[in-house]
Amino acid sequence: MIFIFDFFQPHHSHGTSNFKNSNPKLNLQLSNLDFAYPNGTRALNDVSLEIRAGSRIAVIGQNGAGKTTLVKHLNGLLKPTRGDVLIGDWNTREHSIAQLARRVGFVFQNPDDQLFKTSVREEIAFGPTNLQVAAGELEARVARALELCGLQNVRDTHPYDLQLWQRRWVTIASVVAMQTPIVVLDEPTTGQDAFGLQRLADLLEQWEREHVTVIAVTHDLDFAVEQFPELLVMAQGQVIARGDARVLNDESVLKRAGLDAPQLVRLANALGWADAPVNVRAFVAHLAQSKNTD
Amino acid sequence: MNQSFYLDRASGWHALHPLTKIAVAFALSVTAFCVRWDFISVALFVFVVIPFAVWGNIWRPVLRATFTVILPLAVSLALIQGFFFPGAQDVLFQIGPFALKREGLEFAFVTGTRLMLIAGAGLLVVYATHPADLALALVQAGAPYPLAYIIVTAIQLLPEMQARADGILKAQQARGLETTGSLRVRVSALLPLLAPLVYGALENVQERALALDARAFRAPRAKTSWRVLRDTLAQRALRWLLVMFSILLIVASVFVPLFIR
Repeated sequence: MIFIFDFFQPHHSHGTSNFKNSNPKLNLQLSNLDFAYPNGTRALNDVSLEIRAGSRIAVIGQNGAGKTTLVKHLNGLLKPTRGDVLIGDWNTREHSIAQLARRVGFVFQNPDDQLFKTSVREEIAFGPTNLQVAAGELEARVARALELCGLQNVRDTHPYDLQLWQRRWVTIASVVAMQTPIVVLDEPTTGQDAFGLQRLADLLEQWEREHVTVIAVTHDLDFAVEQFPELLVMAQGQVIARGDARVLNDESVLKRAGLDAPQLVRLANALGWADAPVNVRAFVAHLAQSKNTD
Repeated sequence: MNQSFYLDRASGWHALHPLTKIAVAFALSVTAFCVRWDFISVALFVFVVIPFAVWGNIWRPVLRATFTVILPLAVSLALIQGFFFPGAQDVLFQIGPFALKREGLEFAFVTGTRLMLIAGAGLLVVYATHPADLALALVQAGAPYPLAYIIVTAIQLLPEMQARADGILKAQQARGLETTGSLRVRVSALLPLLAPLVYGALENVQERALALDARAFRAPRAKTSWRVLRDTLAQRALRWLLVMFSILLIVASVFVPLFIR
């Protein structure tokens, strides 16, 4: 076991592109999805959308807009009151959560709802073990997850001896090791410092190289705009806008979603620019262009 | 998710002082134990617990919860006592070396119905009393505040643990854990479900203690209550009557065998 760890460690410093993704391409299809909680609260209202394999989408909106309820349908945690959710050719109604775990990895908000092993390494191995990954490959997967999530130094530590933000990384790593073609992240930026945000950005890049579909629920608009080419804006249980960051230029969308525009958009508006750039690169380009035309 | 058993209804039963409700449940339980008539528990359940539950508009949850708890118990009681009651003679029928006996079944019936009555009476109180009211009533009756807090916390903890257990179950299933199927699968699923629950509960205790201290829980002075309990002279009298009745019944059942058969 030690041999395998030592063997893999140095190679990973050059990135992990040697891990070819063997995942099938799975599109997500949600059709006429309604969901009401047992107490009668209607959380989703006729949501239909298609998410192509390999997409990277941030789901944004106010508290109570239905973001988490929506993504909980993607791995069968919730089953629709009406309508269907298809993960590739699987209807979530016909498969258990454990079966769907082969296709969709889900990183929960609260790490303490799942950590139970006595070391980080074992914790990360739990998911792949459930998926009956062979022993040799298991070690490789765990080593890779430890590296991608920056947990090599604590791999033998008891998860409950770690800080909350580190425990979050353990839960992310345990999904990384499952190597599912689809990953759902529920509020991944909570509690992360600048260093953690960068690591998250690197992980998203890695997933993109592997054509993993990533769907993230987030309150962090700046993070969403910078890291996700596609935004899904939700309000009152419905998807009210979908597209790249320019959807945030639409005042009516922001108002309906109860969102505040990212700082750059507000700055551009204050400068009287007609077309607000949503990231630093676009802002600088716009500035250079307006200087040239002067 | 509802984090307490309390069901908010506008009923006369709800409006009673918590101690009155407790006194009713207590007197019912004492009666079931002291009166030696096999059908006393069933009679009290049908003629007292159910009417009160209907009055409080909580009959559905009271009946559902009572039977969810009692039915499995009753079945195992009937089997174990029916076959193995010590000294039983009257054989009803024989399965191989095992004989089902009448005395055992009777004992199982009396014990099972007693538990049913106690569960029903307890639920009658818990469903209709806001936990804060219960705590206040206990403190006003002279119980130390920490004791009242512990009792109320214990009542509230169950639904809270239930909600957390559900969250843990989902989280582990999402990591591919199978929780249904053969006994082996179910047993191996226990640790991943229980460990986070226990860790979480321990962590919770520490945080709760800190939060309580930070909010002057241990301040020596009497606490002001946000909630106001309504008590009446009639209720106070009723409570005393019920307590006196219970004590008399206990004493009587010790010295005078109350055979009503």
